[in-house]
Amino acid sequence: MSKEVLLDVKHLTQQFHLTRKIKVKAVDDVSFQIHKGEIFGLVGESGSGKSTVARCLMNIYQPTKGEIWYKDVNICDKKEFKKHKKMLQTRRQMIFQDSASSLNQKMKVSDIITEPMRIQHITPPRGSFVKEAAFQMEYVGLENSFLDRYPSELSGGQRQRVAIARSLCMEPEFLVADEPIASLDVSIQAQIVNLFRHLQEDHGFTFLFIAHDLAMVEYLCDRVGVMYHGKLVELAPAEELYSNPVHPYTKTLLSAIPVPDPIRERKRVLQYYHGEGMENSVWTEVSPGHFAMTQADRKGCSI
Amino acid sequence: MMRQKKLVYYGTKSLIFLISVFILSVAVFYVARLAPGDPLISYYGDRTEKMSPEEREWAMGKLGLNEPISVQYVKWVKNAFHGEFGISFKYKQDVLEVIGNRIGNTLLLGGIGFIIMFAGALLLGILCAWYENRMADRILCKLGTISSCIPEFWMALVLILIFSVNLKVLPSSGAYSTGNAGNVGDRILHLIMPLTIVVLEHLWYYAYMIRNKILEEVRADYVLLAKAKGLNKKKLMFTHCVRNVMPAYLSIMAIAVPHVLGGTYVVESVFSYPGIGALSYESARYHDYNLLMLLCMMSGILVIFCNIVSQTINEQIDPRMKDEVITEKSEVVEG
Amino acid sequence: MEHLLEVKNLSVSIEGSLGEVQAVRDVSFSLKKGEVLAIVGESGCGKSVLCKSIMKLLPPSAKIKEGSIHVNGQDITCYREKEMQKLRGKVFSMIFQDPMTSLNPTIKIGKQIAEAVLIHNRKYTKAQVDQKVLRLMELVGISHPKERYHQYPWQFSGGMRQRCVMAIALAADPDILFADEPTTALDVTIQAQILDLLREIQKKLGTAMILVSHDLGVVARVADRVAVMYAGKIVEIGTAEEVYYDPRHPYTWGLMKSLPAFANGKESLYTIPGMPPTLIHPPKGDAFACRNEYALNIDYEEMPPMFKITDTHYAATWLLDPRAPQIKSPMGGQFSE
Repeated sequence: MSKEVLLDVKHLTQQFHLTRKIKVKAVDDVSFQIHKGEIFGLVGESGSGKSTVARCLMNIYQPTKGEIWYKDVNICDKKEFKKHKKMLQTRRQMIFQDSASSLNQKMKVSDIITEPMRIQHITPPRGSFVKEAAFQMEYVGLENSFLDRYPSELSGGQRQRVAIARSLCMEPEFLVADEPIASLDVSIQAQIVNLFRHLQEDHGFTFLFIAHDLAMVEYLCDRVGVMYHGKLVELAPAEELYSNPVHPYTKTLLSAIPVPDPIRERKRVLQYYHGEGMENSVWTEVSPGHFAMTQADRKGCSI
Repeated sequence: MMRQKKLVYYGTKSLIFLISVFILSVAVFYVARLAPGDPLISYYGDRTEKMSPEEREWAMGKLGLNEPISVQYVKWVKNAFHGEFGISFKYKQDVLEVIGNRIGNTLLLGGIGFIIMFAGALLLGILCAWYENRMADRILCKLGTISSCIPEFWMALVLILIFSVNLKVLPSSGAYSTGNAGNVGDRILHLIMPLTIVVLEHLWYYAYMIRNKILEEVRADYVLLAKAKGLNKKKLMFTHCVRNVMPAYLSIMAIAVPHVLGGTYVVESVFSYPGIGALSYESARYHDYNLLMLLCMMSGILVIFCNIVSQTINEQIDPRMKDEVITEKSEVVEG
Repeated sequence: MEHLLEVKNLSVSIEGSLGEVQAVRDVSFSLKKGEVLAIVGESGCGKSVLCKSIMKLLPPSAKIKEGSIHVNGQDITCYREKEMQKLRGKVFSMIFQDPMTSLNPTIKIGKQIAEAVLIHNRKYTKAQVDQKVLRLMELVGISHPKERYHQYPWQFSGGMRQRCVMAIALAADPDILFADEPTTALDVTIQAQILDLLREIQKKLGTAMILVSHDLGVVARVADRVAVMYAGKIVEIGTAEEVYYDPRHPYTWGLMKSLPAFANGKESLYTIPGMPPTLIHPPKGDAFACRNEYALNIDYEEMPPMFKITDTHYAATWLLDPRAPQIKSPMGGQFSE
């Protein structure tokens, strides 16, 4: 794996105003790098800020503080963003969790897939828009007969494939998938994850995969970041994270993965974490490439 | 703390109200004077045509019309603050008196119409939602669509034709027969047809709205849970669905006041019903500035006020407007 | 022992715009007192429809075509809405998938629970009702019930709302609790908590439970027995141990293998090829045949009956027929018959 940095997030902070006075820090001083050609997993419970990070990376939100460098463009800077807008908007693509609402119900599948090309005025490399749509459909494993259908006629997994095909037609180098499998059945989840893996191997694009549980992430991702209450609490290569978790929240998440084995599962002890010791934690490198929030007075040792 | 916040909240609302009223008054004042036509006709009638330029000058001065518009406006505002709105050119009476004689009639027609309409719309809406897609619902929906497609003046004429001209059971115009101003029965007879039109014209619009809002609630997941716990249909409909629709309905009612008022104006002119509507029409036609100004201001203030009320209701319904915020942390500790 | 719930040859169809969907086809199972039965299957396999048809919560377009439902020995198949209302809440109750939408947003939590209590205990005084509500809230693990009583649903997190829904469902001490994907919409860490709570309450009150889920992993924690559903039919049913350690139906194998826990660092996760059939015109033979790598010729011709493996374990696949070829289960080295 090359170590070339594609995306560098520095001290990203995003605040939202609930009312005029009450502010909520959805993302609180988060820094990480995504290397070119890797699958980076971001895990956390709902409200932990993982989707907000993704939206900041896609310029959907303007961060309150911090910088995001995409190659050598600071995309938080409005002037620089405008200058490189076309490159950024075609090179980065996003897939959302709820494919039922993120696809326009009144558009045919073929139009949905090629819409980004029309918007960016790109001539389809395969002759016509329809041919292009057919090619991408086949690529993500959908039959051509779906081209003239509407999203409501498809199942959840098929819709998610359409969303993937739509992002692929721009030939992106960076793909953000915000909980793409959370609303699917387990058996369909496996199909989509396989598809992601296959695409990544084929295209070699860089991939940010967001999920709320660790089960599929372990299988798919090269490196995994764990978020808790707006903060990144642990960042490590997937295998390292699973074999040697440091932060108590990571352990909680790991202990929550259900095991399809009744006897073992009934004995499994759940762990709980309520944010103890978050205040005086510091970001430290526990072992090479493995970072975690550890308590300042007990640097380096696991809790 | 809480009180102070409320004070600020209602303070801002009042300020918005005052600013809107000010803008409205300026606009009405200027636009009325920019309209082509001779204001003297309303005061002097046919004599105006025979006036010499000097006489005209004198008459304009007497009515205060020869000064620049801005000066006139300032004068008008000053007097208005003292409760003097000038005299009506046409009736040669204090405008307050002219309006005072008629406003009761309009309030009677509009108020009763408003109440009947919204009560009826609620009942009809619930009825249709209860029998969703069954015979009763379908027939009511069809009838409603037809009734709301008929223009009100035309329906008024048809009613007059049937009940006044052919059957001769109902009077065709006015608020009471001459000399019967205090006779309640006579007043009611005169009200029947105008009321019917006012109610019918908007009834279906709101009934359909209620029907669909309730059906939206009926489809909600919590209804399934309520059913699963053994709630019967009647309780489910009234304690859950209708209850949830009510706040939105109240805000719609507030917004609808001007809507109904407009309808009343049309009906009044068709039935020559001596109310504010007919008066507004006349005053605009004869350049009766003082009268027109006050009438416009009254309707305008009502419209602005109702809008602010409905906005306030909406904000009160929306829980996010309230100042309690549950932080994520406390949830997790307990969750 | 008397069966609490007995469903025999139940078929349910739903009239749709494209035709009649045979959502549940010839399903039979029974439930004992205090038992947890998990129904597992992909979305669209009819597991939700099955539960809702027992409680008669389906829209009027759905009809029971055949079969019977017995509750406490009573035939309720032809019960009308009035009679069902008396049973709902008292005999059976239900928890739904999305706690965000299954509570009325404009009514205080306490009141919503109190309403459920009052329906079946009309003679309760206000004090009795309040006491019962507070007891229920404590039972489902809502801390500070007195303060929480006066809060609205939007002031609760997802996990807490699901607890409230459980309190409502348990208000009249039902004999059977249907839980329709109760944890799917929740965070993983909350998921396990809710499942444990369900199990704990179920043990404490002796309520029988039918747990519907698409995830075999989730179900393992609480289920005594597991039924696997495919295309409107139960294809395998048995105790949890039997289904997890000795699955017999190829579809169960497929479901198991697609779990990431079974990937063990392999190149790709196992997926079942193809798509489930539409249930408007279900195929003639075994509905799973066209996705089944072990399919026999007869699978395309005739529906397999339920073959008995043990007294509690049944599976509907021709592979269990004595004439069928011996196929090694890919799940753990056990041989089929």
